[in-house]
Amino acid sequence: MKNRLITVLALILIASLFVACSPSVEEPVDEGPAVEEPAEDETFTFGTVVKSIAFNWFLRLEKGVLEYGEASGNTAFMEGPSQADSAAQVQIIESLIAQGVDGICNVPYGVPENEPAQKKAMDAGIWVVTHEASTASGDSLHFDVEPFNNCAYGEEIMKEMASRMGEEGQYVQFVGSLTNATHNEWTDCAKAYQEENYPNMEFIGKFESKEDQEVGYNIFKDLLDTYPNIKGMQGSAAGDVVAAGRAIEEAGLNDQIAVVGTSIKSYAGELLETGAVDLAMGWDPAQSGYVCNVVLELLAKGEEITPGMDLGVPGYENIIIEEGVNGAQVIYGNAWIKFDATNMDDYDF
Amino acid sequence: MKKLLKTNEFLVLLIIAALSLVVGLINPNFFTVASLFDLVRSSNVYIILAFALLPVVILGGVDISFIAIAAVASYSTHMFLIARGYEGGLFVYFVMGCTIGALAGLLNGLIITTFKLKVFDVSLATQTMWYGFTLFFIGATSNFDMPEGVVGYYSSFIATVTDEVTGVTGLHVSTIYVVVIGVFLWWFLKYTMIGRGIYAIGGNPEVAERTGFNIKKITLIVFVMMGLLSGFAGIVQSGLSRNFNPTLFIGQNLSVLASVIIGGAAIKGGRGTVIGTVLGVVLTQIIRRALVLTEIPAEWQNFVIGLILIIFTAIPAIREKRLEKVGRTTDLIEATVEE
Amino acid sequence: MEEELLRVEGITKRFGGVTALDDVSFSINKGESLTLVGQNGSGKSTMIKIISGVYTPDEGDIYIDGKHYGKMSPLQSIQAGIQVIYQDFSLFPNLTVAENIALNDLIISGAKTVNWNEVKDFAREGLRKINVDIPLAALVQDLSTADRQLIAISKAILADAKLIIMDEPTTALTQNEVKALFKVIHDLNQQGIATIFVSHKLTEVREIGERTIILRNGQKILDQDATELDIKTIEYQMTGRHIDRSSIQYSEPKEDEVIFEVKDFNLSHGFFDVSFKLYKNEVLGITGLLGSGRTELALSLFGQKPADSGTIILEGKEIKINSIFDATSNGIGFVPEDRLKEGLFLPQTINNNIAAKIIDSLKNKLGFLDQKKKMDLAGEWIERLDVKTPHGELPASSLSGGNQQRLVLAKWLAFNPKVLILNGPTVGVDVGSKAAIHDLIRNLAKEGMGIILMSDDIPELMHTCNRILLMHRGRIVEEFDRESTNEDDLNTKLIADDRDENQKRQVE
Repeated sequence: MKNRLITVLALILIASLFVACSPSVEEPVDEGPAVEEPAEDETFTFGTVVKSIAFNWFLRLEKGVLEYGEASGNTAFMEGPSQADSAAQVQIIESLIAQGVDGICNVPYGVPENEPAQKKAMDAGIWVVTHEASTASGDSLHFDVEPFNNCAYGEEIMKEMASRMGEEGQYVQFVGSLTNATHNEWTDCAKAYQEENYPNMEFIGKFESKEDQEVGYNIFKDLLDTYPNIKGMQGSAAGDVVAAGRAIEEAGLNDQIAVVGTSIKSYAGELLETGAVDLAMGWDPAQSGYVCNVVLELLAKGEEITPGMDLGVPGYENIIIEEGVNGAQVIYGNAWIKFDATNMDDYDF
Repeated sequence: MKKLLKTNEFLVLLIIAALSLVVGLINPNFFTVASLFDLVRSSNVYIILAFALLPVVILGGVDISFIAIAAVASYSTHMFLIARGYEGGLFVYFVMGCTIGALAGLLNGLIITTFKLKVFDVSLATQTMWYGFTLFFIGATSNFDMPEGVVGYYSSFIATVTDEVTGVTGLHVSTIYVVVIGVFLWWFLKYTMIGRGIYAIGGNPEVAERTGFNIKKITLIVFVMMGLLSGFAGIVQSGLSRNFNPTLFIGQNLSVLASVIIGGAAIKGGRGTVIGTVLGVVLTQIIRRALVLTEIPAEWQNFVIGLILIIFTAIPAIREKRLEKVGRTTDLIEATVEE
Repeated sequence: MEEELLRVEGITKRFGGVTALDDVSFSINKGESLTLVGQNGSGKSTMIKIISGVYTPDEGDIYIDGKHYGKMSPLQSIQAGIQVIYQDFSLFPNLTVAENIALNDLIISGAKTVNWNEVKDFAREGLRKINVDIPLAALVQDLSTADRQLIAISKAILADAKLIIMDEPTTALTQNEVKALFKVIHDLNQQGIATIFVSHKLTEVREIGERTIILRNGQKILDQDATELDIKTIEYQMTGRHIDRSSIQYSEPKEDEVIFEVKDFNLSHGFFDVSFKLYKNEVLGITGLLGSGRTELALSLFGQKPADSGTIILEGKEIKINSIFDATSNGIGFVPEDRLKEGLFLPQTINNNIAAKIIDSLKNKLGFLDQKKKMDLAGEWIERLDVKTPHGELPASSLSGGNQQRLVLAKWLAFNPKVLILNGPTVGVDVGSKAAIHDLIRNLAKEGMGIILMSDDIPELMHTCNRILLMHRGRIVEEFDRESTNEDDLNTKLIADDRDENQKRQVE
């Protein structure tokens, strides 16, 4: 019985190699997800697919993928369209299915558009783990991995800002746009945490930088006029803390206002050095790429992934597993990174 | 004098004064020199963009691609110079950026005049094209590497005031550009035959051709100017922001257009002034600032700005309607006086 | 002694398959006055556009002052001293009076910049030459039609023109203004400036022209001294057929049946205390000079400019007209004066234009537009109104002016209104089409449609109406019965009012 199954699988694999170029691949209907019996010293092949290889962000992610490959001895590589495009991404996934990889780590450009291709991979017996896709439907992936829970991240920003403000005084929040769900989750959770834990702090308002630093700069100058006692600023778009930092530096108020928020070194570096921006936070795409492959390996080895588990990657020592809005199993770490003038040289992105 | 009171410029000025008074009463900080300097600074780049758009609107067209031209001109200039280790000041940026902008504007103009297409249709295409071109061929992320000569630009002030709370606020050097470009554009539109040709074409293109205006030449000049000034504005904005952004100004074309319309330019062409345009931008900037200064929540900002825009775009229509009702013929006006 | 100014030889111009001008030659001497006559589509407008350099002829030569021009640009034409006053006056509505007058001169002189003081002096001088006073700083869009006409004329005179071409310049002028214009033309001829005068109004042709050229179907039919021509000859040469007016069959109104009545109608700045009745089978004329409130009254009756107060009674029932929708849903139709702007969807097909008002009645059972029904109906009206087109599916813009006017009529007649208001239905229409439209109007009245005809064309009113109301300064001042008045009498009444006004103005 078992031999027959393996023979059928092998035949399908060979067949799919031949028909890889034809547009309609006959899906294996009856067999369902295959569970291979892993041999102790077997090596795996994992393909990572990203939205586009044209962004520095994903080149950084690739670094993590390659590091994983070196450390584990498994074959790990990254592919992606030259332009962010779901259709091109689906094609790449289909060619990976045809190649018969053991697992796919997908960072979908359009989450719903990628789901059918992911399902197809699962039907072909391939493990599928996604990143930046916690809203995907539960039957289109095995796990989604996120560096952190957005709410926990917002609270962490608040903790850092509050400690720099002496846990008292007025503060403002900036979002790239009032319709950006992620930015609003960060700021809303931060505010809720402040109301719970720092009664001496006073929330002034949430402002929209329109993802434009000059806009953010002008608003912050007006805020300084209107609320001369501002002590803290929380930024969401990468340019937000830069905008506030510039206004603060020009006003010579570097030491009086705590500026903490999401940013990256290439944006905020200059102002982190002068202290106008106090702390930048974010996450490292290389780590995401690394951990995504680790999860694939655990699945391929048939190991169970449970809450509180240590994935052996910094920030993922005590993971949380929650169900996403559409049923996806989402693994959260605490993998945020913080950098200021003292440690920013450790990061090259 | 009576005529002056009836002009759109005066109306906008009146509203600026009234609004300033209200904001100032709520927040006295609005009436400081520092606040004035901030207002000027936040308006400067948008005034230059509005100057770029104004002649196109007078000509009778609506262009939405000027922001994309600003982005491609400033970003590609920067990436080119940075790659060659340029460490000088902004002058070379301006020369190169304005040239790229002018060429991009010329392309719009050539497509419009050669194929006799609508300005809006062409600009819809070129806007998409230029943003796409920049992202794909030049780069997709903001660049923060500033040449030595550009670093201090954001705080190059003509004059400064110091305040205990907000620290040093300066009148930015870009104010000089606005004044110089504004005076030139005013002279160009009012005193040159090409300038008058722009109004004539906007008023009645067929008659303009019959009268002997070279419509093609004038259209091309208008679009070269638009591109040149957009490129210039792109570099000023990037210098102020301390970074060069491939999607600079994205989505802001309509608010610039709104400022130009508020300033009294007719969307169907033939009307528009430099002073009105400046006032239009200043008013939209004050509205935006007023919402922060009067502590109105950010969620309200877009709603309120939209509301005010509706009122302003409606004013010319209301006037037109009134004029129609009153009647145009001299006989009728006399008859009414008698009644 | 006579010196030749302009000569065209063997001019042929084709548009697609249509030959607009076919081997036309003529010349004009310095100081000569020439009238150019022809029906719509006869090639008059094309000839003007060729002389002014807007069109390039396919064959033929142009000589100005002995100089040969094969291909001539508009600018070259202007530089050679040729000025055209088009029906739209070639003015910029958004610019001031002064700039409109001076722009031509600035372009000819090749100026790069504008000296506004010189512009004002120049314009002042130009207006003085034709002895009128219009504020120099006013925008043209705020002026009356008559004032715009005056500006166009002063503009041409100032351009040191050797030849001034006027394309139906009297269309929008009152009788008095026409007389003044003729005097201006006469003065110009005395000064050695030649004029070409294009007109439909046959009475004017004899009054103004020394020589008359008649075009028909793109060919020159006649070229001779105007004094030897009578109106019947001109009519015949223009149309190729004789038009008989002696046997007009007027409809007989039933005076006991009022189908439409207006009481105490008022519109501020428009008209005051207007009351009148329209009987069954009657054509009611309303006339008045420009600015008498005639056009405003028409627009109010159609709901485009709702009246401030007053009562409207249609077939014994009081109705309210506050919008165009109110008017049409009550069965009131309106043929506007400006057919291009208000009457037609020019890019749409002729069939669609005819069906536009009655689209709801052309649905089939499924609620879709019944194409066959539409075509049949449109075809019927094309035939009945003699719209000259090879095909009903061509765009309305392909029709000549007179045929477009017929199409506007067809659109409203297909709608079968109870009351049809016609505002200047034959403005810009040639004499042949005019008679046909008049016939149609009388027939419609006979069939029971109430017709209100607004016009300042006295012969037109006399040929169609049963009664004529005269408006002046927003009021109805007199009522005439066709049978107890005549054209001269009506003319005198109209002009008398005009004269009063002019005297009054001078006193003021």
